[in-house]
Amino acid sequence: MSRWGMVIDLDKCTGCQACVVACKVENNVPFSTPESESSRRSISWMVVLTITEGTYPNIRQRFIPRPCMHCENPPCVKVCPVGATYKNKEGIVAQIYTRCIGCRYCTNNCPYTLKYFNYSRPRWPTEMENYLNPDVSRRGVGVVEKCTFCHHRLQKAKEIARAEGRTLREEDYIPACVQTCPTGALIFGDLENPKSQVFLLSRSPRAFRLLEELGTEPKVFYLTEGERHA
Amino acid sequence: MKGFLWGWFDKLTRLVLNTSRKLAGFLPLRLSCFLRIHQAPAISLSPEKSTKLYKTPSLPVGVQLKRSGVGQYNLIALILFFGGLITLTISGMLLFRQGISGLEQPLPFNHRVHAENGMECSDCHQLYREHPASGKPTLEVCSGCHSEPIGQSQSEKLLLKYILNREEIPWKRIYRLPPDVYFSHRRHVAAGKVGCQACHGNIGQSSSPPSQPLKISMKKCMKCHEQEKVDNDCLACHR
Amino acid sequence: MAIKRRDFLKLVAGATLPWPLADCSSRNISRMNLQSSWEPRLETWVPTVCGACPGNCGLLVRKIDNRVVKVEGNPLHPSNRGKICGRGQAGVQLLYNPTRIKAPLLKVGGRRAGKWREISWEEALSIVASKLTELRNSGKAHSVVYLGPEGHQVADELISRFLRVYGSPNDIRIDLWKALKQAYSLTLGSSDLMAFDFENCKYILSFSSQFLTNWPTSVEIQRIYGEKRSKAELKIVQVEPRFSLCASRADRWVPIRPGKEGLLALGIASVILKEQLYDKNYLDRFAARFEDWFNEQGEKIPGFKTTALNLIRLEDVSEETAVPLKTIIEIAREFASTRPALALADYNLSYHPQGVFNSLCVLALNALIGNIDLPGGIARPRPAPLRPWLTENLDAIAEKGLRMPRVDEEAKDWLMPPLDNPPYEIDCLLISPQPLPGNFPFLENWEEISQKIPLIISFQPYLDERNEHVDLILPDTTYFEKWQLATSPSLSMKTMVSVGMPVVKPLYQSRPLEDILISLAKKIGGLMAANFPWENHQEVIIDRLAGLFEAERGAVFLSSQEEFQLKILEERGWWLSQHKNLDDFIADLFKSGGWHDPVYHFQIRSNTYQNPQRRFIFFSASENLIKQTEPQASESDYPFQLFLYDLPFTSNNSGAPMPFFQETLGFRFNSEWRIWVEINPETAKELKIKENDLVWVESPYGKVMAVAKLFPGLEPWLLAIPLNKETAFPANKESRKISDPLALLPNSGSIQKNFSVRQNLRVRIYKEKGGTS
Repeated sequence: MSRWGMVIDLDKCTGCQACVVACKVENNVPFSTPESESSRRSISWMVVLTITEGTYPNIRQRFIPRPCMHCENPPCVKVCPVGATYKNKEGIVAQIYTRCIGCRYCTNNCPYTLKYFNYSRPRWPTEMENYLNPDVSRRGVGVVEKCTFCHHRLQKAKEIARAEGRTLREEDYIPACVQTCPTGALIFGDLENPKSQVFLLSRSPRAFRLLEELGTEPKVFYLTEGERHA
Repeated sequence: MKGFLWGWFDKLTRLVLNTSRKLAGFLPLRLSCFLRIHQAPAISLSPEKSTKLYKTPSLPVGVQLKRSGVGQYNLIALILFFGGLITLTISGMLLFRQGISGLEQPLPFNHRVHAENGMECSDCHQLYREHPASGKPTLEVCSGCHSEPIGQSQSEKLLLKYILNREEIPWKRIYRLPPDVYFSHRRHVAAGKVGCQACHGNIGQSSSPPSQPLKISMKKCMKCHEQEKVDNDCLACHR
Repeated sequence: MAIKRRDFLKLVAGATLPWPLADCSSRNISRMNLQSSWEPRLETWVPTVCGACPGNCGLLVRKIDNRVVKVEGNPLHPSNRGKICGRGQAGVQLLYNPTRIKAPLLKVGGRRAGKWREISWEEALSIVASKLTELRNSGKAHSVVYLGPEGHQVADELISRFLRVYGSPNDIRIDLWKALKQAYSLTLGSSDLMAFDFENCKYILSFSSQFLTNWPTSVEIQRIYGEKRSKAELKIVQVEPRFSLCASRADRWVPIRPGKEGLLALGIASVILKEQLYDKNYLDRFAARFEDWFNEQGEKIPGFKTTALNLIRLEDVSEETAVPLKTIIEIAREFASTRPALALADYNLSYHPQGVFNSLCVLALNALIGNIDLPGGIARPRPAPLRPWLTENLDAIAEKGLRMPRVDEEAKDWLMPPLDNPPYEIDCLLISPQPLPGNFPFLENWEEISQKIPLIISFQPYLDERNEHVDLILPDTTYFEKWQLATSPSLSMKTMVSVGMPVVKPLYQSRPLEDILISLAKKIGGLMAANFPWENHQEVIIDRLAGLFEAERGAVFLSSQEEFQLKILEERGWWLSQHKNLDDFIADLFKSGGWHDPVYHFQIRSNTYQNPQRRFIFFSASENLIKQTEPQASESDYPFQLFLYDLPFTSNNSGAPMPFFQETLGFRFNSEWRIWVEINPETAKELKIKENDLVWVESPYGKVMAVAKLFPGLEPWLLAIPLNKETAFPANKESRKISDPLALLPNSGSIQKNFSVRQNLRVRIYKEKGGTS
């Protein structure tokens, strides 16, 4: 069984936001408005966090793309009273919108604050509804949503592979953010497959995970910025 | 008169629905402030211990609830519960309303006649092997055989009119899926080797289109998935 | 009555249960569920060219039935190789934009208060054609002016052809890169931009250049950056007043006073000269005016060597630029000893009055180490062998018109045309479909200017304030709806042509600009029609592409392995035809997305140096180089210097119709839609300004309200405000009223001045009363 994971090379990330926009277009996330910004209710499954260190002129800035961590031991799953969020066999932490009752326990319990609640029905100008992806649902008001590693792409890749009578190749399934990343800072694959790039990179001495001390065991690994800064 | 009443009823139900939604959305927000369960308690512990802690979460929720004046919340919850019951009934009625509204096709298509003439499903629904959708037969498909009248039937006369006007037939959809379900014919037919009848029953033998939208319940899906021992993961079908 | 948590949850769950259910009620299903509308949902992938910026990356468009739902990079495209930036990703919002114009619009009832009326294309074209014919027949052909950005698409060439044949010299392209282009024409004899060979270079010394984010080739550069970073093959030093995105990705950031980049480059040059680290061989063979030289009057003019060595003192440079002496020497040694090394200059240098001088100094650094026309250096792009245009037949009117001076004659070498003070009256102004740099004409004096022009016609596809003073709109389509042929952007090393066919039919009643021009020419008739013999723009494109088939080199886009093989073969003089006939070739061309010749021969020097001397000409300065720029206002009243900068991927325009793109621009400052001002934390502490406080920034010319963001990435006496940040979608004047940084610029009536003072403006800052957001 595959265990899907992502490796993010912070050395390569330029903070160009291509992943953020790609995610929003792929997953039918509405764009933010000045109102949603002021009430802090904008939704963005992928966010590039900025960390600024130092004082002028010795300043350093790091960009940390933050998708859902898809924890092995997800804190959000434990508090869901209705089983709307759970970890599936391939390690993807799912969010089933029709089950979600909007209690927001999971948003509160996620140490990475990457779950988003729909405080209002997402709206698009009528013309823009044309570009909505039919493979991804339009969430209604009152449900929690988050990055799914574009699992609909996995379903489609599996389906095509089976219809063609072959096994799933690793390159068949790439989330939208990884596909577009201009510098190749995002790498995606099967953490169980010893030949895959993510398998090797996640074991690199540069690899670390966010808030490792919480024991959530994220499947998103980061590679520290290289020695050139040391 | 009937329409007028329905209009008012519709307005009223929508009002109730919206208010209950807003209330329900509001309550958990306030609750989560009281419950304070978002504070991960394991920060100071070593990783092994914290893992254990996570496996058996013991959150001091009840205690805090009592401390913060439960009575008030009971009342709100009860009001919401009964409010919820009422809205449930009303939405049920709304669904029912759709049920009786009927489904009239532009022409009374006869599946049986076509099947008896040796036609396969894929002759008209041409996409289901390679695409998620089965493929609504286009006018081009129909006119492939019906460019000249073949029989005497009323429905063929209607069809010929469409062909003459080069106007696509506005078929109405019989099977509808809830918005959160992703269904793919390719997955079931090409990859899973499921026959059409497994889901569509003997619609291929029907002589007139059904008067109501047909339903395939999730129960039916799950039953088949269990029998065939295929993936029963929510994510496999829910998008 | 005591209720346990579990019971409570049950109750809540019971109460909330109907609510998702209600979402599924019949009314909502039809609205929410895309699947239930009975579309066959056929998925297709169509290659095309991205038009969200002038970069012309290759796209693969995901289509479901007749809708565009997603764009990805074309994996075969040699420049972006399957990758695409955020701006490109948001392109679907350009296509399906609520502000798109649905049919030709005519203003009725006066320009100011008038209303738009939809008219038919027939009527619209007749109006324009008859007006143009009338002007032409009355000998005023030259008074038709076209205003647009630089571009590499067929539409741009068709416009130029149209104007030439019509008889107007006023094909005006607003180009941010003009300062650098001018520097190139002074040094290399041609104002075409040169390409930087990032793929082979090991050291980048960037002078305020936003090469990772704001160049047309940025996606390609980012790809190379990613590849080289993993192997630690590239060192980047960014010299810049503000800690930009590029600076944050560089190995070293060297803060400098705004506009002093050239001086620092001279300082670096002087170290290189002193320590004899320069390339003597190159300078002997390919440089002029390096040593002292004599002019026509026989006077001795100091050459570059003398200028850099004797006329400036390193200590003065250090003091003036605020870069420590040690740093200058370190950079100079590193730059000269790591080969190949590039010194980069870009359009940002022209945001200061000394732009051309600064660019010249930076180019001189490259020449000093001989890194011109070498792998990893500066090289001249090679044009693709497209079939040339049919020769133009000009009649007497056209020839007479073309002899007239351009309206921007006086400011030809600078950024903006002085439309407000033209040498003769402008009778008709045509505005390009692409928004112009600097969000022109959002400028305040646009209203004044427009009043003097009797007819203004716009090709803009979106209805916004750009169309405010326009009389007639002929809506162009977006790049998803037309045939495309784009040559590689001028900064690219690649000899490449990207093509695309319409992904969807034109929405509404819009028409491709190319077709509008062709039908206009036909309507005007006579020699105009004869010069545009094509039926539509598809014919033009197919005609031009035939040249690639006949060139007997290169190939349609291939995967990188196949391309490598082709390159090896071609370098050894082999070329195998893959297509039997032109039709096959064209079909394959559109299937793969374009044509590319992977071979680049360096050392064809005659091509690189286009001046009569066939050399790199160093500048020589006879005046005092450490020149103070004139102060804009007194320091006591306006204690801070303002630094206006372009946000990433917005150099040519803001991308206002793409909310997905706009909302991500402020990610470094946690701002989605608000304008912010960057303040050094020390300064903020002194002024008692806290993070997210509302502040006013005031220049002698205007003021702007912004959110304060404490940012240690600039000097304490500097404030930075981003340009091209929209404050709402759809962008509107109301929302921009108090937050348009362009209001800080002098409204002197001269548009060009606005550009050059962008980083040379004095301001003050104070808190809005009770303002915390």
